[in-house]
Amino acid sequence: MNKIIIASLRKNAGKTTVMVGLSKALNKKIGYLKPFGDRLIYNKKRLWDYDSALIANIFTLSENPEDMSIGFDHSKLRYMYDEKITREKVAELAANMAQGKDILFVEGGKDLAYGISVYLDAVSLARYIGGNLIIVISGDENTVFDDITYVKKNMDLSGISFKGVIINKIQNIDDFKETYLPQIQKIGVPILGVIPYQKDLTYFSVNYLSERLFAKVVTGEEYLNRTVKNIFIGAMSVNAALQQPLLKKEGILMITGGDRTDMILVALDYQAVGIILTNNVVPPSHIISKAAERKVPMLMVTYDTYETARRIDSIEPLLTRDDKQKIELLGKLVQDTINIQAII
Amino acid sequence: MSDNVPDIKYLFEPRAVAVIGASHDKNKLGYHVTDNIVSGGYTGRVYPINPRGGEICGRRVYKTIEDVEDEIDLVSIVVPAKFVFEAVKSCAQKGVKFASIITSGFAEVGNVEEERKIVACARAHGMRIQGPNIFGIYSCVSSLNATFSASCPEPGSVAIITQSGALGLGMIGKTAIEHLGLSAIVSVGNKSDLDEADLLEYLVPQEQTRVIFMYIEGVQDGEKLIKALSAATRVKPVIVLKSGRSARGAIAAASHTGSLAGSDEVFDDIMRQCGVLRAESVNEGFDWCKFIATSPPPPGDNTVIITNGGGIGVIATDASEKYGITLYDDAATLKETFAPVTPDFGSTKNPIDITGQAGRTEYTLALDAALNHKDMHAVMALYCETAVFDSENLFRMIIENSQKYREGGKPLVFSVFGGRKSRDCINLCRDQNIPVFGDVYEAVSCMGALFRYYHYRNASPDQAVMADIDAEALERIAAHAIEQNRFFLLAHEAQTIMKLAGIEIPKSSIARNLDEAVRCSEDIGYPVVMKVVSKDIVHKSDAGGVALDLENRNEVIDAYQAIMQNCRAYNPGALIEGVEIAEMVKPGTELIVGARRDATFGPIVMVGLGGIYVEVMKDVTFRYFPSGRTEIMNMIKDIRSYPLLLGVRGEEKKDIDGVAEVIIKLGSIIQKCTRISDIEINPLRVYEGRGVKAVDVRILLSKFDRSNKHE
Repeated sequence: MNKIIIASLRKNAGKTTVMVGLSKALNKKIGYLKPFGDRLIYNKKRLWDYDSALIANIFTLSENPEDMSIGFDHSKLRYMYDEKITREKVAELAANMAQGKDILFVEGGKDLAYGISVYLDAVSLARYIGGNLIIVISGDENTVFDDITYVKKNMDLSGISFKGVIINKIQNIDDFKETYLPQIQKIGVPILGVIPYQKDLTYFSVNYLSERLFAKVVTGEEYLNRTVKNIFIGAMSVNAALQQPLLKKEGILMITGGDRTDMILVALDYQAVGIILTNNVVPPSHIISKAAERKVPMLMVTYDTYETARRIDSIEPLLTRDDKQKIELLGKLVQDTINIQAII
Repeated sequence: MSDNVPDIKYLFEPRAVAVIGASHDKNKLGYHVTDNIVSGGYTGRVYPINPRGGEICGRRVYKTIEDVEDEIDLVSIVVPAKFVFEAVKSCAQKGVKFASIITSGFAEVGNVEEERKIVACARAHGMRIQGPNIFGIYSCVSSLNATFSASCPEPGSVAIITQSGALGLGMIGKTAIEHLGLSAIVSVGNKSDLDEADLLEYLVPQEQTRVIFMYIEGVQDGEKLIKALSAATRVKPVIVLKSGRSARGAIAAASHTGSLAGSDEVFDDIMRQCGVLRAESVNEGFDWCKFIATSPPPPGDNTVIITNGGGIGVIATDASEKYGITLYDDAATLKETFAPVTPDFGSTKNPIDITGQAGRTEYTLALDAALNHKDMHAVMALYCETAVFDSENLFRMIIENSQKYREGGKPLVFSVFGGRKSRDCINLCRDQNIPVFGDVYEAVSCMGALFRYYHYRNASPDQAVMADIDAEALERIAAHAIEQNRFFLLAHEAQTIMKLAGIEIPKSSIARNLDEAVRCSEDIGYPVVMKVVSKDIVHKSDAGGVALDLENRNEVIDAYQAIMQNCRAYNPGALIEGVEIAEMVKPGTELIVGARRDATFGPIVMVGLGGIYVEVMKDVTFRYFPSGRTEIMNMIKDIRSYPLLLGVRGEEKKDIDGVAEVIIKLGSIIQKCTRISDIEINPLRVYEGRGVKAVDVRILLSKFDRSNKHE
C-alpha cells in the first residue's frame, strides 16, 4: 500500500490538480483523505471538503466525502481534540480510506503551516501516517528558488520519507528548463518534474461562476456549461466597446448593468457565452426573450460592476467533476513531465 | 415668509384679473388668454398688461401692472421665461393674490433655481403661484376662462385638476363634445407652489362641483396629498388617472414635468385607502365622472340587469364580477317581480331577459318593476339593436326612464350596442347628459365605480391607531448605531426594538466562540438556528452565515465551523463578533411585514406573502400610516394569499389579529423614530389560533435626520 502525502508551501500551488493527474497517470485504485479541510461545503447539515467531493466523484470512491476530513475550523479542533486524539483520529481515518486501495493520497492544508497549532499540518500528517511526502511548488522563478531553498535549509524532515518537489504551473517552460532548472537542481532537493502552465486549466464554466457569485439565473439555464475564457466589462459606450479587440475573442463573458440594454445587445451579437447583469437590475422582457432566443445565459447579481469584476478575479478556477477534458489533460501532463516511479 | 396666505377662493373666483404678456398679435398665447377671458363672459374686471399699451379685445391695455389702480386677485403671466421673475416681483409687490404662470422653461427643463426664486419672492409677499408650465385656469362660477384653449368648456359639475398642460387642453375639447360640463379645470404644471391638495381645499366644499377628476404624473408631497384626498372623498368622489405606471412611462413622466413617478403599487393601494377611484384611461375617467355626477347614490348593493339579449346579458354578468357588482339573486322574488313583464321564453333569473322583441313598452315595464321594488337598488339596462325598436323610441325610452330613476333615487346605466341607429341614439343621449355606452363593459365599469365610491363613503371613518412604544428608547438604539457610522441595526439591536414593541421573537443568545455556542444551544433547547453576527455582513444567507434546524451538539459544532469558514471567504475583512443562537421556530404561514418612510408618501406599511419567494410572488399590499384598524385588516385581506390565513385543508384560522397588531407596531416605530427608515420582518410566522413570531428582522437607518423635514 503506497501512501502519498501531498503538501505545498503556499496556497493554490495546485496540489489537488497534481494529485488528480497522478491518479490518472497511475491508473490504480486510489483512496483519499484531507484531514484538515479548507474548502468547506455545508449543505443540509452535512459538511465536507470540496476537494474530497471532487476526488470521490472523479474516481467513483465508495467512501463519503464527509468522512474524509476531521475538521474545518481551528475552533472546532481545539474544542474537541488534543494532540493524542488528533493522531488517533488521523490514523483511524487513513486506515478506513485505505481499505481495498492500492494508493492512498493524503492532501495537506493550503500551505505548510496551516493546521500546525491543531496538529494537522502536512508534515505532522506525514509523521502520523508514514508514506511518501511530496511538495508542490509554483510561482515565478524567484519564488521557486526561494521555496526550494527553504525546503532544503529550514524544514525538519527527519523521520519522513521525503520524495521531492513538483514544480507546477510554469510559464515559458522551455526557457525555465534551460535557464533556471540546472541551478535549482544544484540546491539538492529532488525535483520530480516540472509541469507547464496550461491556460485551459484556468477556465471555468458559467455555471461555476453563477454558484460562486450567488447569481440568479434570469435565462439560459440549459447553457450554463459553456466555458468562460475572457471577461469583458461593459462599462463604456457601445462605440468604444466595438473598438476593443477583446470583444472579438472566444468565450466572452460580458459584465454590465441590467439597464445597459445597448451593451447586452452587443454581447448577444458577439455570441458571448454569458452575461452578468449587475446591481440587481432586470432588463426589459424583450431583451430577456432575445437572450433566450440566442441561447445566451443571463445571470443577475446584487453587486455593482466593479465589485462583480473584483469577485470574479478572486475566484479560484477549481476543477469540477464535469471537467472531463481537463482531467484527461492533467493525466497526460503528469505522465509526460513527472518521474512517477520516483514517487511510488 | 409672509404669514398672509390668500384664500384659495380668489384663484377660482377672482374679482379682477390681469394678463401680463397680453398681446395684440393673434398668433401669440398672450392674445388667446386675453380673448378667452373676455369672450368667455368673465364677470369680473380684466386688465391686459403690455408695454405697448393700446387696446386688446376691446379692453384698455396698461403698460405695467403698477399702472392698474385696482386690487387684482389673479394675474396670468404669459411672457418669456427670462421675464417671469420680474413680472412676479411686480405682482407680489402690488399685492396680487395669485399668479398663474403659463410660461414654461423652468424645472421641467432643469431650471429649478429660477423657479425656486420665483416662489420665494411670491411667498415673501403672501402671493401664491400656480404652475409654471400650465395652460391656465377655468372656473365656471366666475365664467373665467384664463387659458389658451381653442374652445370654452361647457359649465357643469365636474372639476378637473391636471398636471399636463397639453392633455388638459385636449380634455377641454373632449369634455365639450362629450357634453361633460366642468365646474373648473386647472393646470398645476410644475407644482412649484400650489399643488393638487391646495386646489382641493376650494373644490371640495364648492357646491357646483359634484365630482373631481385628477390627472397626475408625479407626487411631490405625498403626505399632504393623502390628507387632502382622505378629507375630500368623505364629501365627494375623486377620480385619479396617474401615468408613469410602467417603467418606461415613469421615465417619460420624469422628463415631462421634472417630477418622478413613485412605485405604482404603493400609489394604487394608497389611493384606494383614501377612497379615490383610479381610472386606467382618460375615457374611463370621463365616463365615471359623467355617470357619478348625474347618478343618485345607490340605496343598497343589489343590482339587476335587464336585457333583450342573452349573450350580452352574460357579458354583463362577467363584467359585474370583474367590477365587484353584486347581482340580486333571490330567484323567487325575481320571478314574482318580472314574470308579468317577461315573455315565457325569456328569463327572470338576473340578467332579466325580456327578449329580442322587447320595445319601449316592455323595457319601461321591466324598469318600472325594478324601480318600484325595495330590494332592487340599481339597474343596468342592455340593448342590442333590433328591427322592432327604432332609435327615436329607444331614445325616448332611455330619457324617460333615466329621469324616473333619478327622481326615484336609484342609479340606472344603459348599454346600447348596434349600428347606426344605436350610435345616433347614444349621441342624442349624450347631448342630454344621459349616461349611455356602446360597450357593456364601459357601462358596468361606471356602475362599479359608483358602488366602490359609495361603499367607501358609507363605511364609518376608521380612527387611526398608534402603538404605545418608547420613542426615546428607539432613538437611543438608532443613535448608537449611527455613531458607529452604521446604517443598519445588528441582530441584537433589532431584537431589542422588537421587545420594546412587544413583538414576539424567538429566544436567542449571542455566542462569542464555539464553547458558548454549544452551551447556548443547550440552554435554549434543540432544535436551534445559528446566524453569524457581523456588522460587515448584512445578507447572512448569501454569505453562508445561517444554519437551520440544528438538532444536537455535533450539528451545532459543524454549523459553527461552516459559518466561520463561509463568512471569512465571503468577506475576508469582516469583523465577526460571534454567532446568534436562536430557537428554531416551528413552521407556520410565513408573511412579510414591513414599514418604511416612502420618499413620496411618508410612513407606509406593507404586508404580504413572505419567505424566500417574496420577490418572485410579489404578493404584497401597502397602506399609508397611521391607519385605522379596519384599513389594516383590509390590507391583509387584499393579499392574494389571504385564504392561507383563513386555514386550508382542515387547518384552523390563523392569528390575523396578531398580524394586524404587528403591522400597527411597525408603522408606529417608523412614525415615532425618525432615524429608522425601513423595518422588515421576513418571515413573520403566523400560527393557527393565536400567536405570531418575528423570525428575522432587518432594520435600516436613514442617513439623513428627517426630524426637521420641512425646514
